Amino acid sequence: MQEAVKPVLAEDARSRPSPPDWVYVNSFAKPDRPIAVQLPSGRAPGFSEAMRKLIEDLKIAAPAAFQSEDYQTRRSAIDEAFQKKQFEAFSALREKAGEKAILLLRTPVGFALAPSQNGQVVPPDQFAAWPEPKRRQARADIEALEADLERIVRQTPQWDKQRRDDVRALNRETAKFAVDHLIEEVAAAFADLPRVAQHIDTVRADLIENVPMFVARSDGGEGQTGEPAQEAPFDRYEVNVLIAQNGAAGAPLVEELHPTLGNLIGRIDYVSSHGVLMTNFRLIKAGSLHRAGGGYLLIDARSLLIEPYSWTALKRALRRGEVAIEDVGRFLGLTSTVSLEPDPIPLEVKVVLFGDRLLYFMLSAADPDLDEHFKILADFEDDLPRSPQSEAIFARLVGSIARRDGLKALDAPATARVIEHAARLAAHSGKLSLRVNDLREALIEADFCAREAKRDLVTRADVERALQARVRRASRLRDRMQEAIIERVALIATEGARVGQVNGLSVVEIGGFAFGRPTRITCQTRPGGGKVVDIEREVELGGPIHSKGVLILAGFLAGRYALDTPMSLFASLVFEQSYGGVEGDSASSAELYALLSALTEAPLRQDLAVTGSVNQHGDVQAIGGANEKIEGFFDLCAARGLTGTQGVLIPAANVQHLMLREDVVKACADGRFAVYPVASIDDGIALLTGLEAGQRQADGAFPPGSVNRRAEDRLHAFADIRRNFGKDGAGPAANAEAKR
Amino acid sequence: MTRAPLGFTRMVLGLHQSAPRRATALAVEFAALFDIELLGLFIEDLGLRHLSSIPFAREISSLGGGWRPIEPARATRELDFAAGDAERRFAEAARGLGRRRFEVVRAGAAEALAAILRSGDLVMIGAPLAAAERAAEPFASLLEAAFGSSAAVMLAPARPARSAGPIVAIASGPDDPSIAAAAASAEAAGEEFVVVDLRAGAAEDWLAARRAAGPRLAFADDALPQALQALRERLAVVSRGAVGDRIALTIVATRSVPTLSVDGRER
Repeated sequence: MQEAVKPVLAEDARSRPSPPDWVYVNSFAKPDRPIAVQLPSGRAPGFSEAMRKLIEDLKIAAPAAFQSEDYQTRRSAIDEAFQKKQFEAFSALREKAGEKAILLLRTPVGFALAPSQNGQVVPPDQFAAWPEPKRRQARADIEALEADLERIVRQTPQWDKQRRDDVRALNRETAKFAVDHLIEEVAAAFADLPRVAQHIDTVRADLIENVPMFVARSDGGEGQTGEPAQEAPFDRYEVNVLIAQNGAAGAPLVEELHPTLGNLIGRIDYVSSHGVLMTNFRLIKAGSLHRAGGGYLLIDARSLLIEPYSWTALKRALRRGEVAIEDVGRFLGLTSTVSLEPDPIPLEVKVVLFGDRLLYFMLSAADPDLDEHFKILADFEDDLPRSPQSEAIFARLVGSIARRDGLKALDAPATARVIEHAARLAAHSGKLSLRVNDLREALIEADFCAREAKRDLVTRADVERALQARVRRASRLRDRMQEAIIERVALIATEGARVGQVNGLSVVEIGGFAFGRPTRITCQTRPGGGKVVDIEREVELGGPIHSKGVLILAGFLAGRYALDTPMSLFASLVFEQSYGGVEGDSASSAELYALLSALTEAPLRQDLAVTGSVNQHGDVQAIGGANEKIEGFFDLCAARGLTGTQGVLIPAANVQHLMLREDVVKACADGRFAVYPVASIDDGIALLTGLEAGQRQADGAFPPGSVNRRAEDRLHAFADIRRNFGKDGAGPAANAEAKR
Repeated sequence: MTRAPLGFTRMVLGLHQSAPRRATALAVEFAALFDIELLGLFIEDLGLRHLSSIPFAREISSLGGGWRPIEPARATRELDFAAGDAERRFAEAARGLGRRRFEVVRAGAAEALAAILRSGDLVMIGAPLAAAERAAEPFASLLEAAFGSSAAVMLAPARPARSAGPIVAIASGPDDPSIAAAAASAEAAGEEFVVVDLRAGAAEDWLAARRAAGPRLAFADDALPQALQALRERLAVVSRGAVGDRIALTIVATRSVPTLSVDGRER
């Protein structure tokens, strides 16, 4: 399906305009909210490269500017001015204090003033010995100087602040000098893009403010700057190119094979730094919704639905018309580290979901949003009608598959065989399957066979060998089952005749391989309350459709035979040696034959097998898997030796579906095997018993000796038995009479 | 007594309650480099002890908070802690040093130095980071006493800028005593030896004086900071004197580089 759709979409995509590029840049105001910037198609890489080059240039230019003689001189002047101011103020105070025999002392937490004598602080005992006026004078002098000291101490932080402001202004000026001429080149190249120009202005402002921080202190003692500290600080000016068209013409056509949430809407990566997970705008990765912007996104619906959060995220994106990258770790409560909330990116995309019908119907029923977002339903046929024209088209398809996959070309008989196989895959002689993958696999294997045989072309024999090999590899279970029948572990008769016993046919499908399996169906009857017991159902091995089929049998019997008497039959039906579940009504005709045989005691041919469902009027209805069922019985008969009388009764409506194996067809053509289309139960019972089924005559009775007459008579007898049952001496004797 | 190439036999590290912590590590580094004994001398300032016993004594915090009285018990506790802390740091830093000693003396800075210094001593003093501290006691007295002594003086910055780089003699001509000291230091340290001549037009003199394997030359031309900026020196060596002492203080304060002041006399 995708193979058919993709070329159509690709052609349309080519005619659409190329969508814009998108980049993420740092948000200097809110680093956790990266900014999405749109650029004309193909210009994002250039922008990224220009910014990268700017950063590289800055790594050289910025330190050079800060190491320049001019900067160093001015920086030293600022520091020295501060030191000088402080030193002079304290020195002046010290001098002034010294004139009054007062010392300025550094204490553990600050400064103090002390009276002195001979350049030393006066010991307390000497101070106490000073005359009172001298002590008072010393104290007064100290109090006066303390006012000066306090003023200086309070002034110092302001001087320091002034120093920092001066340094900052100098740094800004120096950075501006270093940055401006470099950034002007970038700005000029993108002057036509206002959003980009705006970002460049922001970068310029941030650089001027922060470049000094990014330059390592090469000369710590001088408080000046030198080599770059590390590359990381400049990373904030990089450009994360999320989507770039790279010169591709037209709109993108993206197929997402693994639609996890991250792959779909993008993700935010993390890096471990000192045991902590860190992220930034450069670690934002695009999803397929981003990459498909302006074009088409193809997704397998089943893959999408089995990925947690993907379906809801896709719907959310389509509803909002933008892609917001969300961290799945946050949903699950797994991320405890700081994450990002990048700007959402507008979404203009056509999403094509591929899936089978069942999935569509289920999704449609379960999720009302489906219709809102996916308004166009394209229901592709699985097959196409078979005709000379379609066969020719199909042959071309086969040829193109071989070409595209680099396989050897097929000759005409080989192509014809592939077409036959396609009809078999369609299970209809009048149709050809469009399951291209199945065909491709067969072609690849046929190609292998041809290569092994060193042929330039794939022949019919190669195709046949490939198909047989595929069956052989998958047929272990089928072979074991057939072996069990041959060895009479599973009892299936293929000759003779038995009362109340018929060969039914079922289809087993495991791992994509289907095969038919004969099953013995038996029936026992006795007088009763009109009930046909399905033993499979009683033991809960029968499915509802199978049970329905059995109940139909009771309806058929009552409608055909119990017109004037109560239905006085008890019948039990069982699939012998069946230990698994039984489902479907394709064995209901076989069950009815077994029931009629048991009722009429007319033996049924065991060299025939039966398939087909039946309705209450006795019409035999179409079933599935007719080919497999016929081939299943044929294989058993062939293994035991074809007698020429063996065959399968199928619904007449299934004839059109017959696409039998070549050996089966040949056996039928040679009269060694037969397939009997049957339209009604009467046809079938006549074939199986060799007796006339019988039609009601003018007197309302079936012809004597016919199967239907015998059935009706037996049912009347059962009714008599029931009527007389319990009366003295009537029970067992009457039953014996009925048997006679 | 063994004499190192520079002629020093002992380094006396002058410590006090406001001495920068890195001075100890720097003293250990140079004592090892010059292969001399290291004496850690904690001068417990009597001035503060005396002041604390004067009734109206108070201090103003440099970190804000205004004035508060200086209590004798607290002052004693803080001084004891400072001495203990200095000893601990000294013991830790000088662990690998063969000849080392630590002493605590309770005296004025000048008295303490005068009492302990002898011929062949190199005094190292840690210069406080803040200019205010450099102007106050006890650093001011300690510096004065050191420069007043006959010993060579090394000023240690509070935050040394680097631990490798050329040894630079800041000279006033080819015969400046700082040149020989710087050359010997450079040899001991295995570093490049550079001479910066402060005089304008000094190049002519050097053309005549320079030997084949002489030092790298630089000329300050009255702009010493710019000349040093390009050198990224590890140690500056100056000649003692009013100019030399001022230069030493400036280099320590502005370039955070240790500065050795020598008088050039034969030891």
